[in-house]
Amino acid sequence: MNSNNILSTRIRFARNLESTPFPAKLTSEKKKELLLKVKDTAKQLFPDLDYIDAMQLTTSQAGSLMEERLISPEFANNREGAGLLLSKDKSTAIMLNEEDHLRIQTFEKGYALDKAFKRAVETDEALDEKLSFAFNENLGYLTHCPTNLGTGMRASVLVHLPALSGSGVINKTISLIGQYGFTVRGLYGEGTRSEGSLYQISNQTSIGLTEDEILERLEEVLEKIQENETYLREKLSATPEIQDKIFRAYGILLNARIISSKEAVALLSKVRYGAEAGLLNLDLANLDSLLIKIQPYNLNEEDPKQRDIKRAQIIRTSLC
Amino acid sequence: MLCENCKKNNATTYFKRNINGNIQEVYLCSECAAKLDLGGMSSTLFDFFMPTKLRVGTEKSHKTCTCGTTFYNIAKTGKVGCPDCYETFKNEIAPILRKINGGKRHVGRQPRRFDRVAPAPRTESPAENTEELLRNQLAEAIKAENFEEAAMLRDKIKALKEEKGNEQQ
Ligand SMILES: [Zn+2]
Ligand SMILES: [Zn+2]
Repeated sequence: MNSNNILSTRIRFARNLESTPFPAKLTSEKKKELLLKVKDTAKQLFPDLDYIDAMQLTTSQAGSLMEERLISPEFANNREGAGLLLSKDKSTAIMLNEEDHLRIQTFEKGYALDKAFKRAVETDEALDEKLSFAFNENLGYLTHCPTNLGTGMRASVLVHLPALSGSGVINKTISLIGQYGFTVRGLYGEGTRSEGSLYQISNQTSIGLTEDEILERLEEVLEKIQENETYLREKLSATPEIQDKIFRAYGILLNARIISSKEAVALLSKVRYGAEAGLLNLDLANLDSLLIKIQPYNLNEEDPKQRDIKRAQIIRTSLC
Repeated sequence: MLCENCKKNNATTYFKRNINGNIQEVYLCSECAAKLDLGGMSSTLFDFFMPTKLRVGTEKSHKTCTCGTTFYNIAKTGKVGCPDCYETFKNEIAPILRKINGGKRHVGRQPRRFDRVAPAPRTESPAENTEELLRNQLAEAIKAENFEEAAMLRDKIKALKEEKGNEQQ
């Protein structure tokens, strides 16, 4: 499967400690106790993990982590009694006291479901030995929200679909994926709109299938999507209209002095399309890190006008 | 879970009605539920579900879990208080799980300490499933006004019929 339009892969396991109320039912004191216990255990097992006290984070720091997709918007907005265990290379991030006691997340660049899954399992097994996660033979891993019961797993892939989203077929595709037990979300997950033709595709059902079956199905869904995207691209990429849009987008990004986040993301999407199609000789990984660097919190600039200027500057430097 | 009528708010209440042994369930938000109580709605869904005999699931249980959660809290928020709630409110939660995920069983990974236990079988043993037995149980459940149980049995009978239908093809 062609996968140069797949930006990243993530596996998430929702896990909770036995006989301990879920975070929504815990007092601040109890949350703190739980943070200490999990943090100490995790750091012993995985010395590479750094602990971040969510309450010590500024809004801007939390926002940056969210823009990097290491934490959920829910976590960023409700940091009371929460914590984060983050590996140095940012490929593992465990949210503590979000909706569940633990949300084990592993990330990989590009398309690498098996690799991300394997690491998530290793982390899960090691932590479970010490912490004993709540589990029931019929319901699987017990979670705060019944929709996560079973494997507690959400596997997701961030994919760039400019041809599908430009053609209007995307809505039909999304509804078809829904019927197959998968959901399509925007860049930052639940409830967020898709920007820059970027879509997160993930499993909705976590019970009644094994983890392997869920991953296989996700792969099938992706293959179908990719087939359609490729088909449309073959028809589109050669047209002067599309090439014009791609090169104009590149021209603007190289020359703009003030640019909003929305415009930048839309243009970067076109440029990424050009790079994926071999029309522009640009490094895809560089474009993806640029996509994060130009987000409002990552720019770390309070004044909106200055922020738009700083954004244009970073883009110019990075694309030259 | 979303309200089945407005499809906007979270469902907080479920209503059931029993038509000749046929249990019908509908999950509603508090607003829509209130309208249903007044009988002032005329949308097709409400006509269909206009109850001959209403049962509000949230009023049935007075149990409280060790974590302080009541079933009313669970029905209201759609979330559970602690891992033990799933055992405490096993019967009350069962219809909700059926709505969310078809009452499926977990077949995936297990913590190592559970490895001794064989993974849950995907289908129950045939003896448990004979249609006649289920029908008798269903009749009893309806008699006892145990609608959760009845709904579950009805689903089982339906599944069994479908299974048979598939085999014959
Ligand atoms: Zn409603
Ligand atoms: Zn409880």
